[in-house]
Amino acid sequence: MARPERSTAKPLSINPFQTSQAIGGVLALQGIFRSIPVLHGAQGCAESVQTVLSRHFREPISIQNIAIHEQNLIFGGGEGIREMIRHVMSRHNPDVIALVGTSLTKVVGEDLLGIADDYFRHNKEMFKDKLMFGLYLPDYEGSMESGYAKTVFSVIQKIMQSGRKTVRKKKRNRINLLPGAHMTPGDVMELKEIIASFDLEVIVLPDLSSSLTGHLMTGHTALSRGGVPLDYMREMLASAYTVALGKSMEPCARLLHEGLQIPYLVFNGVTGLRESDEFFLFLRQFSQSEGENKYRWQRQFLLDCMLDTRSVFRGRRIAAALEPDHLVALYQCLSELGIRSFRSVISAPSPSVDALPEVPLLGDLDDLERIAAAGADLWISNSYGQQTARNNNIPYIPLGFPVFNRFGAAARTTAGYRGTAELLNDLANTLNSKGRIS
Amino acid sequence: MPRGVPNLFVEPDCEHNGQAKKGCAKPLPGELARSCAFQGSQAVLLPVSDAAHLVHGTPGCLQNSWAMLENGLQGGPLSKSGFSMGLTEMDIILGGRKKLLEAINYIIEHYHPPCIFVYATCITFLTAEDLASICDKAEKQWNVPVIPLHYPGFTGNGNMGSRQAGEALFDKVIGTSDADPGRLTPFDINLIGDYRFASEGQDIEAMLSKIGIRVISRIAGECTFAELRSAHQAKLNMLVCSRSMVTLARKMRDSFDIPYFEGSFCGSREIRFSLRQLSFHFQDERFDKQLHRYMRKEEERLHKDILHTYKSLKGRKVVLFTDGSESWSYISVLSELGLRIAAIGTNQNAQEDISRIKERLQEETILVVQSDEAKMLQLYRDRKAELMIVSGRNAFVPLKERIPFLNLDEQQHGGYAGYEGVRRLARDLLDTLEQPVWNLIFRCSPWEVDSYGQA
Repeated sequence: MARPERSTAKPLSINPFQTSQAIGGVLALQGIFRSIPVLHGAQGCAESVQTVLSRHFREPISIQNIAIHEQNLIFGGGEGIREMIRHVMSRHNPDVIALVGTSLTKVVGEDLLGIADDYFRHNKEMFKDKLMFGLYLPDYEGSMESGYAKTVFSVIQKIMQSGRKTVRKKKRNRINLLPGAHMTPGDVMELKEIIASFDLEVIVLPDLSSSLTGHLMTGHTALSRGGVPLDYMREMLASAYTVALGKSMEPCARLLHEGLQIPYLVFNGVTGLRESDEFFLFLRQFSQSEGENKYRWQRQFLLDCMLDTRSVFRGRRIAAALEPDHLVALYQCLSELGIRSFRSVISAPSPSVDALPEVPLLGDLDDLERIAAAGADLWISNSYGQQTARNNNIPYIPLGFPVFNRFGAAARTTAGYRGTAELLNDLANTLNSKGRIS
Repeated sequence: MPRGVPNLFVEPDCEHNGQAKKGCAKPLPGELARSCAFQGSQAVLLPVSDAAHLVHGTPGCLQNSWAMLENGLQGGPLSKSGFSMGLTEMDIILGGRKKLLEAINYIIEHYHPPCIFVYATCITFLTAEDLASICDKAEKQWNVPVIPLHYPGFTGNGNMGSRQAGEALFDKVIGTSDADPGRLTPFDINLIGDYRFASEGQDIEAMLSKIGIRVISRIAGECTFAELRSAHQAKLNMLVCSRSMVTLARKMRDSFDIPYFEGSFCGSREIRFSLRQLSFHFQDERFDKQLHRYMRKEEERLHKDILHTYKSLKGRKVVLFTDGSESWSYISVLSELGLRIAAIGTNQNAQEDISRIKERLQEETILVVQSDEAKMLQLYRDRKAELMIVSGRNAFVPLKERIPFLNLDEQQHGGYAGYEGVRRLARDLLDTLEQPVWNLIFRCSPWEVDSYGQA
């Protein structure tokens, strides 16, 4: 396995684009209906997670916080944790409650999970028909992608543990979809539509497409406003197939496979012609149905778009800093058009990046700047890179997380034939704009 | 806390001294998350735009301040760069001393800043990293100020952090240089604000310079390190809409003999009050005359505009759902424009803020000190208000309820300070109220009606 290299030149990170695991965890929980993440950290930890997510999606984010104070360091925070669970349960009555430990929890040595388990055992009645679980998402390791995947893994694990023991009959025309952290709500919606067009039922975990897309669900609640409901999520155990999107989600699919013999397939993101084709072929064979005609049209449009934009991509050098799965999805789409180079930076190691032609650098946006200085025609990163790209006069496309000052980041679609065409057009327009606007 | 850091909530100049309940209590369970002390200290110091800001913590700590950097500031060469130690598990176990020193060296060699602020975080505090000695060492080696800030998140909220950042400035920065005495004028002042002030600072300064007042430094506003070092040469300090650094102002008064006062530039009544305070401190007859002439002229113009251009604002009801100083600084300007404030909801306010609100309140206004969304919406409907003014996370309350609202954080046309700011606010309020979208969002969908003519 080609390991990503850490740039050893400097002892600190300059303009980091790393997002903490806790952000991924809280994000995943927004896609579960009536859920509430409870973060155990300093009060600023929860505030910044909430601020960053809110600014990206322009939506309220459900989150609660067990604040660690100086006195907790001395006397222990057990009572605070119990008090918080009591409070959340009685005041908001969530269906799913997740206790998320931060790096601070670990360093303080607070046994968050032990305390929670203990509380659960003594108050079983309170958690009837509910799901409570806990996990640690320290920010000194991994990134948003791994935090998101770990959270989904914990949810599935908990469901499998609490599932009734009887062996269920599998539902033949139902699949589970496990979208990775790089899939936008728009992507998930597109894929749900595609799957439904083959007369298949689909359970999505987590389902951001009905949660952070900006629907006007009125009424105030501290709980997540959309996403997959708990009882529907439990039905996942009886689905016939699992499709994971992104290598980071493979362990989740494997968990279902090992425990319940549900076969699975992993796609990087259903972006690009080849992968979209394979996705449609899978659906066609699995459902024994032909799907809707409109997708044949969309495929034609994509082919046309690829031919149209082909000349723009030829010989171009791309510099990108994204989460590993996202990089791979982007690369597989661009490689179909023939680019000269695709050099990238990631913030945390991941096996996904084996699929890339050049080993990515483990680093920050300062490293990306250095890469770009050697020659780049397009800069792809989250909003933190915008200024640097401008200063270096490189056309810039905001992708990844967080993207500020851009409307519709959540609705943006890069999956399926239509999404791929939109992405290619977008990139080609930006590449073409060099020289005309700064 | 290293080496006897004092309790900053024992502040002789605080108004709530002698009251039973004082300072800031720890948040109750279920209370919304607030910023922490680390973020508070960054909010004050990040606007020092030529200094380097190094966060000695895990990668997550930088998340919120990155957002702040992008937000309002023009920014000098370094305030666009985020420096983080990005500590890994190994660093936490083995200690990050060596790495920190290397990082400081790296920044100085490659960026040549006039100063480095090094922020401790919860993690490095728990691992008992001796930040002060490392900073000392680096400072001696390079002869560049390397200033440690020991305010990890769990020591308190953002307000606490702001105060402590003020302490650090007082101890290590202010008064360390007498450069540039030639340019001193008799009317030199410092402005001390909070994070919103960063975007309004330029307006305020432009207005002051019209009447011959020079601003030496803007603490918590965009400022260079050199300006901060000679801040002690000012004749007067003004706290702009924020008391979080009252300790700094008091200490500057005690050591440098610089008096301070508190004021705001939101609305002509507040401007008049602030400018008269300024004039009172300077005790200069010519200056006083000039100032009054300026105010009279501007107020007449503004009054005319309010009577003619903005007259349709008169009598309309708003609900203010904001936090901190925002809840009081907009009260007088709103009533000046003829708006009626149906209710004010606040959560994070210090007792001083509450008393400022009460001083400015109209009789009909209801003040909800511990407000929640449901309560504010109830008041909005009961009192038949037409508009909400919100900030921060409260922005989603009217949005999700499809209520017309003005989000103070979202405004792109500049702040609302100064006479021009009043016009800007009036314009924004009018434009918001007149947007057709507030009606259209209630329009029936095509599958709810047979034809739109009758629906």
